[in-house]
Amino acid sequence: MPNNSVDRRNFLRGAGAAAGMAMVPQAVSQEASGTAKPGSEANAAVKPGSDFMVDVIRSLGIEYCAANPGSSFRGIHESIVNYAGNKKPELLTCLHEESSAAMAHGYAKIEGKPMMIMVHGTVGLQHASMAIYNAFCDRVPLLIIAGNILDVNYRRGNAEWVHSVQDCAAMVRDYTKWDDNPVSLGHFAESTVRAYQIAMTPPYEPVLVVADGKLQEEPIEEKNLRIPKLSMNAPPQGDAEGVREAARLLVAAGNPVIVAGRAARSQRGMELIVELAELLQARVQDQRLRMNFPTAHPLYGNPGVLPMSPNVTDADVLLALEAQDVWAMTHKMTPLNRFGMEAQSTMKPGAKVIIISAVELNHKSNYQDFGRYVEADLAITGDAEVTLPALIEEVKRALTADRRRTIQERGRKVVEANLESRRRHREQAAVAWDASPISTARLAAEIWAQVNNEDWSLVSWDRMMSAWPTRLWNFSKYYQFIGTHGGSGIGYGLPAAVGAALANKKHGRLTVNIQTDGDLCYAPGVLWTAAHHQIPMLNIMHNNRAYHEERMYITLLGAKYDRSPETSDIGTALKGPNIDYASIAKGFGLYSEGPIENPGDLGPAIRRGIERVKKGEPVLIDVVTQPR
Amino acid sequence: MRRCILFLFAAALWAQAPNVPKGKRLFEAKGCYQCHGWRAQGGLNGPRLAQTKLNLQGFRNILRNPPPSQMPPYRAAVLSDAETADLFAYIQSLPPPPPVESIPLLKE
Repeated sequence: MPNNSVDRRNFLRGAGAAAGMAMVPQAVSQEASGTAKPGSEANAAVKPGSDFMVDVIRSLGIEYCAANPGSSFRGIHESIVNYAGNKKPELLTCLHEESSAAMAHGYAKIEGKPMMIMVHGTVGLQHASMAIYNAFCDRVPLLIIAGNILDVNYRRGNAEWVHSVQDCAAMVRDYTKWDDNPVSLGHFAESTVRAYQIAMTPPYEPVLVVADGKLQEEPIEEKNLRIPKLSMNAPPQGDAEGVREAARLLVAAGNPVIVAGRAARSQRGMELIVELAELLQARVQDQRLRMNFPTAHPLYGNPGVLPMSPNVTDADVLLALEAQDVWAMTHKMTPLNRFGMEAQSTMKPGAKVIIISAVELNHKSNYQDFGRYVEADLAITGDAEVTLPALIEEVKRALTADRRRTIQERGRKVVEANLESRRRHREQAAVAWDASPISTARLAAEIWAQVNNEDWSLVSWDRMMSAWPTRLWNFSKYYQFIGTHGGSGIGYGLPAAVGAALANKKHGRLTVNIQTDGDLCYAPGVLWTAAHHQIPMLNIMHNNRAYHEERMYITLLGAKYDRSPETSDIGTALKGPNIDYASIAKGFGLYSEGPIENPGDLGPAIRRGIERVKKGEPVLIDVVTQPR
Repeated sequence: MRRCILFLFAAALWAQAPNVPKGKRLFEAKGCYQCHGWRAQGGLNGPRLAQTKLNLQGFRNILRNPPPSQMPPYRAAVLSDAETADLFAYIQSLPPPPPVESIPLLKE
C-alpha cells in the first residue's frame, strides 16, 4: 500500500471492541497514517473521506443508520455498504425521513443509546424535523448526520444548489442539544464524538453533525487523522444538601406522593423508585412517560386517572421525579379548562413541592415545552435516576422507629385503595364487553390473554385507549413500556414502534404495538421497512376511524357557543370510504387480517398473528374500535 | 267529542313520552359517544353513563351545567328538554354488563 494512502484497518483498531459494548463504547483513540493525492479519482489505493467518517461512527458503537437515500450523503451511504460491509451500522431503508427519526426515537427508548439517521441538510431535515422535535421533548438521544455541500465549486447543478444551505442545523437548533458544521475530517471526528457525548449526558437529547459532501467524497488528504477517545460524562447528581433536605421533608410527611415522569432510564432506575416508595410507603403516580413503576405494585397509585396530570391533591409533600408539567398537576383552571383561565392551586395548604430533574440543564427559549413556572419549595437540579441512591440513603438515615411504624400504617391505606381501584377497573372493563365496534377494554384484555406468558414489550402509548393496558396488564420490566411521543407530533407511533421492535429483536422479545389509525396514515411506508428488514412485531389497529381527540374538541367548542355538535365529523372523521389497513399492510409485504368488528373474532386473530411474529415477521391486525 | 279529546290527550302523551330510538340517534349525533363510548361505557375522557344512578332532573342539570372539565354545556339551543328526556331514556335502556366473574379474561 502506498505511503500516501489511508490504512482503513488502522481506522478500525479499537472499533470492534467498541461495537460490542451495550451502552457506552470504550474509549477509542486511533490514528490514520497518511494522505491521499489531491484530485485523484477511481484510485483503488485511495480512500474517500466518508470511509473515515464511517470509522468515526463505528467507534461509537452505533448499530443502525436509518435513512431515506439522498445525494448529499451518498458518500457515507456508499462507505457503510461497501467499506463497512453494512454492519454496525447497518443501513435501514426508510421511505420518509420522519420515519427515520421516529424509528431512532423508539429504538433509543428500548436500547438506551442513539441510533444514527442520515438526512439531506435541507429537504430531508425538513421532513424529519417534527420527529426530531418529538425526541427533544421526550428527552431521547438521536445522532443526526445531515448531508450538505457548502463549497459552491462542488455543486454540480440545480439539485445540489437547492439541497445546499449555509447553516442546515439552524432549522432544528431550537430542539436539538448541540450541532456542528465540520470543515475537515479531523473536525468531523471530534465533533461527532463530542455530539455523542452530549446526547448521552442527561438530559438526553438529539444532536446533529453536518457531513459536508466534499469531505465525504474527496480522497483523504489530512495527515495524522485520529478518532478522539470518547469520554462519557457521569450524569449530574443532585446536590447533597438538597437531597438531605428532601429526605427530611419526605420522612416527616403525613402523606408524601411520588410523581415519576421520565425518571427511570433503566430497570435499575425502576427498582430505585420502588425502593424509595417502599421505604416511605408512599403512593407513586406514574405519568407513564417511561416505565417507572410496576403496575401491579400495591403502591402504584390510581392507574385509572389521566396519567399526565395525576391526582396529588391529598399530598402534603409532593416529590416530582423528572415529572412533566408539575404546574398542571398542582393547579386547576376554572371555570372550565381554558375558558376563563383562572387558576388556583389544588394542593393542601402548606404542602411542599420537591422537584428533582436534569431538564433544567437544557432549557431553550423558543419552543415552550418547559411548561409553566413552578413555585417549588425545593428544586434539585440533577438526574433523578442517579440522585435516587443518595436520596434513599438519606431517607434510611432519617427514619426513626416511630416514623417507621406510622409509615407502615399509611402504606396499608394506600394498598387498600390500590386493590379497590383494580377491582373497579375490572368491573368497568365488563361494560360494553360484547360491543361492536369493539371496546378498548376488550381489545386490551384479548391481547393480554395472548401475550402475558411471553416476554413481551408494549411499544405504544395507551392513553388513546383509556389506558386499558396500564389498568389490566401487569407491567414489571423496564422494556415493557416506552411512554409516548413527547411533542404530541402525530405520526410518531408506527415508526417509533418499528424502531423499538428492532431493538427488541435481538433480545427475542414479542413486540406489541397498539396502533392508532390516524397516526398510521402519516407515513405508512415504515411498514415496508419492517417487512424488508424482517423486524418481528404485532401491530394491532385501534381503528376508531377518526382523529378523535380533535373531533371531541370541535364538539366541545360548538356546544360552548350553542352550535350543533353534529358537524364534528367534518375534517376529523376517517370514513367515507373507510380505510382498509389490512390491505395497506398487505401491500407493504406484511401478513394482515381485518377489519375485525366482532369481538369474538379477536382472540383467534391475535393468536394467528403471534404465530407469524414468532417466525420473524411483522403482522398487522385491523380492529374497528370504540373511540377511546 | 269525548273520544276525540281522549285521543288527543293520548297522542300528546305519546308525543312527549321519551323515545329510546330517538335518544340513541341523539346520543350519536350530538357527540355523546365521543367521550362516553358508543355504549355509554365511559373512558378516560368521560365517565360511564350506562346504569347511571341519576334521575332525569339530575342528568339534565349536569348536561346544562357540567362541572369544570372538558364536558361542554349542552343548553336548550343544542338539546331541548324533550331531547334530554329521549337521551336519558336511551341511556337507561342499555342492558347491564355481565358479571365480571363470568368473563374469564377479566379474572385477576
